[in-house]
Amino acid sequence: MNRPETRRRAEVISSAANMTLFLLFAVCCLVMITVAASAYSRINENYGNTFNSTAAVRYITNKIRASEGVEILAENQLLLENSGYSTLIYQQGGVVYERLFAEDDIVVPEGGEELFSAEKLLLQKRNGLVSVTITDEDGGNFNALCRATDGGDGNA
Amino acid sequence: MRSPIKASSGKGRLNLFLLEMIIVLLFFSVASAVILKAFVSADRLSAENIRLERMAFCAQSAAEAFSSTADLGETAEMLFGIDSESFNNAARIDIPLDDKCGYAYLAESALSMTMQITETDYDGRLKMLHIFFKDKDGNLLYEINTAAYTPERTVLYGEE
Repeated sequence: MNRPETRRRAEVISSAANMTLFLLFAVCCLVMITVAASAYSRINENYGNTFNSTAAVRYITNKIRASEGVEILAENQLLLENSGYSTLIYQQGGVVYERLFAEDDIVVPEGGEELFSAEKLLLQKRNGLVSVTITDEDGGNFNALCRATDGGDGNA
Repeated sequence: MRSPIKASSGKGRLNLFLLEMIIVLLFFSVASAVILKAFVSADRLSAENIRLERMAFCAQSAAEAFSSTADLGETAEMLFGIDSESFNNAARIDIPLDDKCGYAYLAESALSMTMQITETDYDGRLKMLHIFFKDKDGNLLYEINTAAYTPERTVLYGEE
């Protein structure tokens, strides 16, 4: 026979149990969402960095192949010469810029159009090949060698 | 009107609650295992993708260097700084690489890059090169074929 006190206690326990169950559900949901969000953001960030760096390296190597003359002005400045105009690709403040110059213009590394974000751009000449290295914000780098039409010495 | 569901005792309710709790925990364990597995595999795929990009760049650089030098030793030297004399006129070179496609001189290699001259023609002036990457288990990951042609040099007057 159930007494009123026992029944009330049972109802309280039952409510507490339901609440605990709901709490457990909420905590599990929260943990899973947090883990999923952190994994997704890491994957997305990696993908973004990789895409940005590889796109930058491919863009620069394609430009080198398409140009008539290549001259490395500094380790982060590349002058691509074509008939009637030249293109300067340079890196400044974590960004790679590009600017076109007419044949008689003075080439200055400023006022260019923003291309890609890159922590570092390293250009080197090696036995007639131009080495292009892009370092991203996480320190990961991508490198490619590219054969310049003029051998990389600026003399077409 | 009385409910058709018979009220259970306090002990019975506790047992039901425990059973429900166990079922919920079991469900969440299975669900989290599935989700974690999916994310781990996504992470692994992302890393594989980055490694594949590096292999593509490495192979592209090797092809460019080979087209310029037409020699495997010099190509290896330009790419990884390996002394070209150790590969004197070799027709095949196997290079151990790390995960970032750098030369694994001392570190344990995760990959191997092989450059093999498969065919020569026109008195050795045309060389066909097969470049491929394999993982530790020998699975083929990436491959390209390229060629280098060294034009015959005209002997100038007075030259031997």
